[in-house]
Amino acid sequence: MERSSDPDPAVRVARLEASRLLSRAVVAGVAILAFATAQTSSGGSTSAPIVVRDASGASATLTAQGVTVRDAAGNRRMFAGVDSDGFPSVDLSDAKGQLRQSMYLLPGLADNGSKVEFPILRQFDANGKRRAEMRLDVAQDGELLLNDASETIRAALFRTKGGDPQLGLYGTDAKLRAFFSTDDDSPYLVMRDRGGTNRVYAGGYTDGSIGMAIRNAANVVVWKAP
Amino acid sequence: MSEEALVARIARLERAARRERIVALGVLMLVLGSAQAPAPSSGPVIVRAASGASATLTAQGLVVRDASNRVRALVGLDSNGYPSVDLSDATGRIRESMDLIQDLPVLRQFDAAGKRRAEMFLASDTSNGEFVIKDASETLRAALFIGTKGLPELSLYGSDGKARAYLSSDDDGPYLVMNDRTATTRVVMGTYTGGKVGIDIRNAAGTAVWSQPP
Repeated sequence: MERSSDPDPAVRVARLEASRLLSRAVVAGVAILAFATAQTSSGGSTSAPIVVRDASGASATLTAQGVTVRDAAGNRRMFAGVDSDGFPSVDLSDAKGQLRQSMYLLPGLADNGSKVEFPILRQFDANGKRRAEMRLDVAQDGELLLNDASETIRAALFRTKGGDPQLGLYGTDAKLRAFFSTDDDSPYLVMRDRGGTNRVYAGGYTDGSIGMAIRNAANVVVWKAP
Repeated sequence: MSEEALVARIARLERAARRERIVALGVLMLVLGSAQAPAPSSGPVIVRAASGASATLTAQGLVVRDASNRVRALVGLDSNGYPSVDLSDATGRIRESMDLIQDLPVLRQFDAAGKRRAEMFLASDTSNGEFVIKDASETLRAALFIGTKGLPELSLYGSDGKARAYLSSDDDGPYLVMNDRTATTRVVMGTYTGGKVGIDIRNAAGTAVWSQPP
């Protein structure tokens, strides 16, 4: 039944007045909302994410934190920006969405106690284990690390605490087996057995001489030259 | 004005009010629907500077071009669909690339001729890490890696790409091997397969001519 069939004109006029108030409120609300969510066309600034999607379903989303690219399956494949922990980061993920390569700045303390951000590049295997890493250490020296599938360090190129460059090879127990290093006087190569005993030494000795020595498992020199 | 005329005018006003309410509600729904987030765009979003430099956001990622319209940076999915960060020089040639090639992480640095000169990656078969340095012919000259048997190794190569020296280690002990141009081992130092630790020097035929300890 039509509401206008109400026979009392006074009631119908009152209803009209109320309806007008409601309409005004709606119009005002729409205007406020439109202003609040308006995007400028020339300023290039927006508080809302910008999403670009193609026919396959792949998308790129630009937010205040950076840009995220998802594949057609919706898996995040690439992120560049400031991550959820607040670190500047570039992350690449495989087709399963597993993080496989990441370059970022990690906050920490330098060896002098000052707050610094350490640049790190990490490569992960399909199980999420760190397998290769290039970074600056607490002394801000560069180092390259290779880990096995258990994330045990197996090879490293770095500077020692004394500042000498060094290549180290490690066993599955993460203990050093060989290292090749140098100070300003001369380089040296040291080889160790499973027990951590030095078995081969070649290069410069601390007394300035240069030579080579082979030791047995009891750490006794069995041959030396010169 | 007669009461009938008044009622007729009220009826017209009521119909008009209903129409306005419907229109207002429709507009409100439209604004609400579009105010949540801008609708996804199927076309690229381009930001261009007065210099002509631009950044283009597509579903594949972000591409930054310089004033000469050369791509200088790409972050996103490359033409093969691999997640990638590519940095290009002023000629538009890629000089540094961090990507996942068939899901394997690779970091590559290229020279101005486009040759791969330094790489850090995980091997496709073992996922072991490798760091390699190549010459201008893209011939491998130095590598630090974990090999297929799980042993860490530093290798140095000749211009023919053949290993000349390598330092490696298993859990028993390390060893250093030096080869000549023909790939004949001339020096071995460290732990032998039998557990002996020593050093020997061999001639071009591979025969030991000196060995210690005896």
